[in-house]
Amino acid sequence: MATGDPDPRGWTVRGRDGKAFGVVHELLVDPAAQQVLYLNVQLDHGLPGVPPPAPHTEKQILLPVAAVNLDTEGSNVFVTALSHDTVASYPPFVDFMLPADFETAMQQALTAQS
Amino acid sequence: MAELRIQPKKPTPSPWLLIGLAVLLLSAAAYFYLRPDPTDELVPAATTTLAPADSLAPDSPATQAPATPPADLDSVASSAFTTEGTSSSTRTTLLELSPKLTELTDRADLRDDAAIREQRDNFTSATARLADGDPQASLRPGLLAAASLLLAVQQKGYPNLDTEANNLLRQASQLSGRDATPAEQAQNRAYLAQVTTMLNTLSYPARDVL
Repeated sequence: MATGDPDPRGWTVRGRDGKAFGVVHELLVDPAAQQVLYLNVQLDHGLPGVPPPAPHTEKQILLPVAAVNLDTEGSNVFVTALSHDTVASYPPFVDFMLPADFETAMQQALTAQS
Repeated sequence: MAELRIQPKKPTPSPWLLIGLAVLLLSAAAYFYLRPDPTDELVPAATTTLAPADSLAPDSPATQAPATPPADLDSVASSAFTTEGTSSSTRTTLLELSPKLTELTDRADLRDDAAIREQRDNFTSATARLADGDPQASLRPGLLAAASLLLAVQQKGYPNLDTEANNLLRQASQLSGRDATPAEQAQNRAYLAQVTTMLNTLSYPARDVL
C-alpha cells in the first residue's frame, strides 16, 4: 500500500444497517494506475438467501473501492448500498476471470439497492 | 468514497550481493589469520630431494632423487677460504653455512629424526645471536652445534663416516670460540673447511657415499 493509505485486508465489511456480512480477503489492483479497484470480500456463513458454499470454497463478492467507506479507527468497511439481508442479491465472484458484463452487474446491483 | 493507492515495494538488496560480501570478508579474515608466518619464510624449503639413507625403501622418492648436491655449497666452501684474514670471517662463514645445514636437515629422509631435529634447534639457538649481529656473541656454541648436527646426520644414514664426524666434533671442542689472533682464525678456518667438506659429503645420497 502507498504510504498513508490503510490496508483493509482482514477488516470487517458491514452494510448500511451496521451488520457485518463478510471480511476483506484480498485486493484487486490496477498496476498501471497504482490504485486498488476492488475489495474481494469473503462472505460470512449463514447469510439470509445465500446458499451454502461448495465444500472447501467460500462465497465471495467484489466491491468497488469507490462504493465503500473506510473506518480506519474501527477497521471496518461500510457499504451503504448493501445490507446484511440484501447481500444475497449481489452478483457473486466465482472465478478470477471477470466476465465482460460483471462490472455492469455490480453497478446495477449497487444502484438498485441504494 | 474511498480511494486506496498502492506503490511498488522498495527493491531489497540481492541476497547474492550479501553472500558475496560475506565471502569477501571471510576470505580477508582467513588471509590475515592463516597467512604464513614471516619467520617461516626464512627457513629454506626442502626443494631438492637429495640423499636417501640406506634404510629407505628402494622405490621411495628419495632414492630416485638426483645425486647432486646443492650448487650453493661450492660457494660456501669457497667463501670459507676466500674470507680469510678478516676479523669476521668465521662468523660470516658460519652464518653462510647455516641455511645449508638447515636445508640438509629438511631432507625427506632426515627431517623426521628426533635427534637431528634437536641438534638443528640447538644450532639455530647457538647462531641466533650471531645472526642478530651481536658483536659480543661467542662463536664456540655455533661451531660446536654445527659439528653435533653433522654427527647426528651421520649417525642417521652414513655409518661409514663415523670417524670423520667424531673427529669433527673433537676438533670443534678444542676451539676457543675467539677469532682475534691469526692463529685462532687459522684454526677456525681449518675447522670450517672440515665442516664444509662434511656437509658437502652428506649432501650426496648415502648410497653414493658408501
